[in-house]
Amino acid sequence: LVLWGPLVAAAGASLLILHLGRNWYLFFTAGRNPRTSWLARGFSILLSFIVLGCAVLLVDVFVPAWAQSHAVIAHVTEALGVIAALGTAIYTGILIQSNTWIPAWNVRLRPASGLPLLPALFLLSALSTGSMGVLMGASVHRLVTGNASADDLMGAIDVLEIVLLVLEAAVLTLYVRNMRLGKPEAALSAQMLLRGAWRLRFWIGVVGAALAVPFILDVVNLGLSQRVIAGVAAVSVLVGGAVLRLAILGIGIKETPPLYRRSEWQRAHPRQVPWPCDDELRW
Amino acid sequence: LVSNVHGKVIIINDDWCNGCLECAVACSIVHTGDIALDRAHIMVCKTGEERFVPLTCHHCETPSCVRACPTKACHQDLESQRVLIDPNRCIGCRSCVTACPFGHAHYDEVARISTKCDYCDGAPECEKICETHAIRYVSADEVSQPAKRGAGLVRAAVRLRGRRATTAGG
Repeated sequence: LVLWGPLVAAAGASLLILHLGRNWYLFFTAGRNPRTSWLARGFSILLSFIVLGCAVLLVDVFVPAWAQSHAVIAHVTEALGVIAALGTAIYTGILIQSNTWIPAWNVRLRPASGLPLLPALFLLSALSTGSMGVLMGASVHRLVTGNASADDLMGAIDVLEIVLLVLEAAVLTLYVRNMRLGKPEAALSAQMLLRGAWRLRFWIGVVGAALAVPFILDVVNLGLSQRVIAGVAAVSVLVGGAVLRLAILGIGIKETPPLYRRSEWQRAHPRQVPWPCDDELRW
Repeated sequence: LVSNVHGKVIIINDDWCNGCLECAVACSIVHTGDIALDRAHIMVCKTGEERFVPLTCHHCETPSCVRACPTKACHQDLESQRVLIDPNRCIGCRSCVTACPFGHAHYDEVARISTKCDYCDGAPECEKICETHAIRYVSADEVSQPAKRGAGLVRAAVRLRGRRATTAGG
């Protein structure tokens, strides 16, 4: 089931191409500027994942098992595929965080320094939604074929998912907390998320659907391995993951450039009071 | 504020701007062949105090839009010191729109590519049509530093308080 992931990613990538503008057919040029553009780097990472993943899938389907175990190149391809998969999971967060003018997307573990939290949050969310996608696939597979071979996998994913949900909740809490304590625009973004226009989507979609509901269902389902409960939890995580990404994008507010802030200061202090943050003008 | 092209700069004095939007109309006609304010490359911001401020690209020395563009369609023309978008190479990913700290580059929904002020190849139509001379296109040497700063600060303050109500960029 895991090996079909690259095909799902390819389908998702085609939606990205549909979202492009007039020259969409030039999408393959999106990797031309990897030196400074995270979108270009992401293009290469995603392309690598799809190509390597499809190669692994083809080997798995068409090459006999005894031959696979002796082929070094197959193992190397698998290892590279795993690296590309992790890159695909984390790069979206880095891409969004690379917009340094939007404080809500640049929240760090410690103010102005430390580990960026958005890539960590997106990585955990990707692992969580990915594993639940596999679980949902396994549930459907068993329902259709009656084959119980994936039951052990489903039990393992249940445990893994609980750990991932706890970690994701911890990082999300830290992310929102540090956003509130950050720059004024970041604090405004946090307010939009917690009490403003995005509050319903955040509390119901993210906190409820992506974290609380699947956590409770997974804990209840620990010893039971009920397909229906697992399926509901999987759908809930997938919907919640989408809402999380939507909400993060929706609350992005650009920072007021330092020169503009200086202008405001001078208007408020017409008697030539020195601007306290002249160093900021170096940008 | 200020932009460089062939040693000349645009300076804007919002004290003289009456919000007639002729600059945006001229800009949209030159660049799109139609009167479409939401497609003009110059944006006119309106503040709560009924003040109007035309905004153009700053043509930054280290442009965020150029760094973010994955296809190199958004590039810096070294000869003219302009930041330009090649319409034949732009795939419409909107990276430049998100990356610009001043919110200048915008996505043209009709042409389905990103667009921005290109200074009309050194002869800005907005400056030609501005009756009040709020928009001026002058040699960089003629503009003293205080004048540049003053113009920039005034416009910036309005931008900070204001909202893009009447603009061309919506």
